[in-house]
Amino acid sequence: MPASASTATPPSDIAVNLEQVTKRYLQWQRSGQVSNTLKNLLRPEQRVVVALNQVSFQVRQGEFVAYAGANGAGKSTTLKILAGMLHPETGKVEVLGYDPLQQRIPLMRELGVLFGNRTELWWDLPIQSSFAWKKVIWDIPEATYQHNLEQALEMLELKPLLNTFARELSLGQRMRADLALLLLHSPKLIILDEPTLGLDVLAKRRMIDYLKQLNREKGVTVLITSHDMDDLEEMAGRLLLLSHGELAFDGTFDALRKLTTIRRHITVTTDSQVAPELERATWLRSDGFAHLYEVNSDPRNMRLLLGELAEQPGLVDIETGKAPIEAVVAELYRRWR
Amino acid sequence: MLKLYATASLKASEKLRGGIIYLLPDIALRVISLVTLLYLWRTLFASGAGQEIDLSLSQMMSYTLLSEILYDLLVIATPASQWLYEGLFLSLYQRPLGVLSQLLALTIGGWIPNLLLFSLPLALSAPLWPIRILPVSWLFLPSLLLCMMVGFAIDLLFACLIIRMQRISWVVTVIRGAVVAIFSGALIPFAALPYGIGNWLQFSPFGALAGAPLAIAIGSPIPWQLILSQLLWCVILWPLLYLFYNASREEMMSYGG
Amino acid sequence: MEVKRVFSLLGLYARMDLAWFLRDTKHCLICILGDLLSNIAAISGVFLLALRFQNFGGMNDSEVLFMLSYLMAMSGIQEIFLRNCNVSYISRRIGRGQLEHMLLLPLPLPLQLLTEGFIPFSGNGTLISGFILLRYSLLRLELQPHGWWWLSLTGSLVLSVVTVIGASYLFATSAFYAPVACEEISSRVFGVADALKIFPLSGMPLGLQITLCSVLPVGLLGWFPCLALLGKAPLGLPGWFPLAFAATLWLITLTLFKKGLRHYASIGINRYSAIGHRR
Repeated sequence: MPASASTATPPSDIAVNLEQVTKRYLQWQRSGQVSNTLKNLLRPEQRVVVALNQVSFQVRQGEFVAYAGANGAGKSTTLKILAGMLHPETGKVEVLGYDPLQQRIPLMRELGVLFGNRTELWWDLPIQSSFAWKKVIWDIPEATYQHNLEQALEMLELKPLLNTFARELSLGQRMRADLALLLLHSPKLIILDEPTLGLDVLAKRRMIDYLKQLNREKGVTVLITSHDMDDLEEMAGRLLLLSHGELAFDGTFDALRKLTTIRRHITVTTDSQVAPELERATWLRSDGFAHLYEVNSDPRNMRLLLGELAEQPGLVDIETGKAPIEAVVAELYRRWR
Repeated sequence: MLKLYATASLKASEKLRGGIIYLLPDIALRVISLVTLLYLWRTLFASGAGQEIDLSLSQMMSYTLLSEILYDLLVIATPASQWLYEGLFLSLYQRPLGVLSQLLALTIGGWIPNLLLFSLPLALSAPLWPIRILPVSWLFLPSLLLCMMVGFAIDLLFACLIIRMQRISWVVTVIRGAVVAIFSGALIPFAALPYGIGNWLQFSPFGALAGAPLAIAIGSPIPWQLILSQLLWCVILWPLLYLFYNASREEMMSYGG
Repeated sequence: MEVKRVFSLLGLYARMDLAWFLRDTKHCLICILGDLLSNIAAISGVFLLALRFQNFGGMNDSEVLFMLSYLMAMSGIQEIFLRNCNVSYISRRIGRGQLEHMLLLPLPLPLQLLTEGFIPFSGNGTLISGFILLRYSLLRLELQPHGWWWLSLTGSLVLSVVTVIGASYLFATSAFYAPVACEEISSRVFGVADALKIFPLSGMPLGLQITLCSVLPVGLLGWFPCLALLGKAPLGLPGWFPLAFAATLWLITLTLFKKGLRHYASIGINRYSAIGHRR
């Protein structure tokens, strides 16, 4: 159980440090057959699920890290371990220099955690009451509180909602209010578990912009999970990809692209609906006069391809783009399955 | 019917599959509670209370034991109020089954663990206490059926009230719990109440719940009157429920969403 | 745990409760009225029996009324300090995976549990009516209590609350291991306590009296302390027995609860339900 010791550890530039962390769960298996009733009662079958297997990684202060993986990969387990809710079976965990289990309380003063499917708001009170509550619980100095509140209200457009009961907010409004609540105590590290879940385009945009601004201007370290890879790529400079409880990838999104056969895409617009045949690119599909190709992004190949394209009659436009990250990750998930 | 059976059995297995052993503390609490009540009546009758009321000790014991065995059936509590509180009533409308039949299936499914693990062993062990649990009149069965019908109607009427009250739905639940516990006769037989209060209560809608079938089971001198009263409340409450339910439906949908 | 911090948090929750009262006055008043009605309904059955049968459970009707009003005041204290946020019904928070919300707060769990259930404005109906009824029952008993007696009464009331909460938390430890099956075990404890605490136990077999003052301590919630306050402590036990019992109960509860919490942190509860959270 997370204890409430308050011994502080000197800060370092490492915000999150996981070393060889393993976490297994036991799942009871029970069939619904009448003949198994006695067995279910006396010796129910157990299945061991390895949620995390020897996972190690570090996050430096000021980094914006995406933490992704297929369903059941172990993302939420990691976040719960980082927040001191679960303790690992083996391995070492340090968050902002604290041991989350032994130093939960001092850690929580500096950490902000938001689970997208939950709310920390007081349901039957206007959201400003939740903000005032947080100020007391976290001992937030008046000046910091006012400053953070003003900024959050401004950025997340919450001012008109201050006197609205939490229960009456829409999902997007509630998430914004939860994010504002999360940031009131100026956390050094924020952990967000699928914060964009169910948000509309506009609400998602507001949240992404604000998180990027916080990271850029205030140096807040962010560790975020989401299934929306485009969102993650827009926000994070680094991706940790989890597969079956193991860290399968740690690097940039571009480096991830190189792992797959899915290559750079190029759209060639011509004056004909017939796609030109190109030696150095593979045709994928055509949409009217726009023809989509997949190409090897090797610089030499690209130079040769551009030369080949320049010789094409009726060429109108060339547009190159990275391989869609969703497609890249989907291929990796399939490969790891 | 198969769909309702599937719903009920899933509801029943929800608790049972968590491990029967974890249901034991709950059962132990109920047993201790029952033993205390039985001894309380024994003590009371030993001090000569039986002379003041028209009940014998054995009747009182049968009444209490039967009430415990059949409690879930005598004082119906459907998931309706809870589901409304959770704002999940919409789920019932999203399934290709009648809302009322689903509530019925879920309620019956909810009874199964207690009936299997508490009521059945208790009923089988009744001769050891020794307390008679067989009703003295066959009229007990139609009375029990009517009691359940009135119970469903009252519970669903409370659920409609909860829709109206929304934010303070739990207050309605608390009041219902207290009122039903006392005025239904599930805990204290009407015959034991002073100033003739019981004579009035036994013909009230709450009295049509536990009080009527239990009184008939132990040999009430007025079984037909009690059954007629139950029938009357059925005739009054179900149309009332129909009206109230339809009037609350729109609010229920917006609340549930 | 700093005493100053406790009071500062109690002040915070009092302000929040007042905010609810001022913003939702109509509903808040209905809640107070609802509490009052349900409590009156809960005790009226036994009081009617006491009026009908002299020497009901070995106590006369005035003594029974004193016990019932004591119980009402006890419920009132519990409601004011521990009702909100399911603090009393802790198995719900455990079973619904809501302890995780508490672990995100920079406060020790005991401090959170001690303070966040405080609702002095919306939860005072039962306590006020309990004290009015208590005063009336003392008049009926023709007692003229002195300062020390009032102090004993207050201490007894607090101990009764501590005892019932201890029992709730003790049974609630099972929710760490079986969250679904035991989510409502605390409400079952309160249900049984509410059903049994109202009966006077005098005259019952000794074995049952001892059981109900130990294994299932409903006798220590009203019957024992009331007789002790009237100078007739039963079972040949001293008046301070409830204190010793509550201390032992909490020692066992804390040991098992900590063990349960360790289990929780070790395997978690793969179940989350928002029902009742901060509502």
